[in-house]
Amino acid sequence: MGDRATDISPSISELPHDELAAYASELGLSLDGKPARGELLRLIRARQEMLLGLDRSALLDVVVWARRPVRRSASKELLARHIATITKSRFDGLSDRGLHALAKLRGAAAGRNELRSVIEHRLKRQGGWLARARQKRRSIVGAILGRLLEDAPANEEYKFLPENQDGPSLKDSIRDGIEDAGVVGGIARKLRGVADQYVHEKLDEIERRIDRKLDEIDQRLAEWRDREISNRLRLIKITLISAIVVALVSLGYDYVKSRADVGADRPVPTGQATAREPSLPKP
Amino acid sequence: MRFDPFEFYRFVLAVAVGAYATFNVISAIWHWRGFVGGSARSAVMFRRYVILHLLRVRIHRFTPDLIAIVTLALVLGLLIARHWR
Repeated sequence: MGDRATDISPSISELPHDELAAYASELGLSLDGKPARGELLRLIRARQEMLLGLDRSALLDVVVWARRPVRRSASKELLARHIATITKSRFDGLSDRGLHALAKLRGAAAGRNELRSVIEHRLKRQGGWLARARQKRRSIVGAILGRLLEDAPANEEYKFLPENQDGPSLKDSIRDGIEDAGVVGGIARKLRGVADQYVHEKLDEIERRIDRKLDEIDQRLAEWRDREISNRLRLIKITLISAIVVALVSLGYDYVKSRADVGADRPVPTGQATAREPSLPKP
Repeated sequence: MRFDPFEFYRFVLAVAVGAYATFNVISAIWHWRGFVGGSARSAVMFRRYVILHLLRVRIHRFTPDLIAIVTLALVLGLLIARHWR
């Protein structure tokens, strides 16, 4: 999530329907089915109003607790987008105000005087037993893989991303620049600042494109993996069916053979044998 | 004891197919072990990537196939058990 790009809130009413739905999801809104455009806009406006009413420090607490990389100066909307991706359900280390903010963003009731444990319990119960089971499974797998892949558990103190402090701000006027560094120096500094910002914007754009491309590659790889697994499973099925056919033939052969052996071993009745013998003409 | 061509065919088939399958499985495991089990940076990255992709597999997509495989395996097991009676 590029801070610069996401800090700028788009004019939502101009967005096409699918992008509007994606934007709503990014803000943490859970959409049932395919809501109409008007409904989507209403939900997004309501969420934006709710964000205005939330304390920014509380949102920062949540992001720090979940160890999401953000700048200290990140906007509420960007913080809300990060928070929307958090699925953690162990709330150790989260401040009370952060817990209240998280509950509101997840659509759970959280009164000011309510006990912390009650809100935590409500948040944990929110997704149903399936979500809880998934969370439990993830935490177990995470613990196992963490032990397998990481050398030591990371308990470092959270650090915010560095703020942009590269070169003079564009807000500095030419007058200030000339006062500080003379005519040529001041204008050069201003130009350098504009050029730096242009380069940064372009680099951000390139980064976003690369991210998008990497996502596409990842998606294609996932599709290829699923296809490959499906093919392997089909091969296993074919092999099993062939084995069953061979086993059936073999079983049939055993059955026929046992019947034939029984028929050969059975003593022939004498009456029948004499009856079949041709009778000789009596003299 | 009479010579039974079908018994002979069944025995040869079982030995040949069993040996082929065993060889293939061992060879594949050996190949993957060499490919993934190294300590070089590329091998470590590849191992993590494979683990990541395996974790991201959605098992429920293959539920019908898995049910069919389990059923077929059970049927095969029953048929093999019938041979020993």
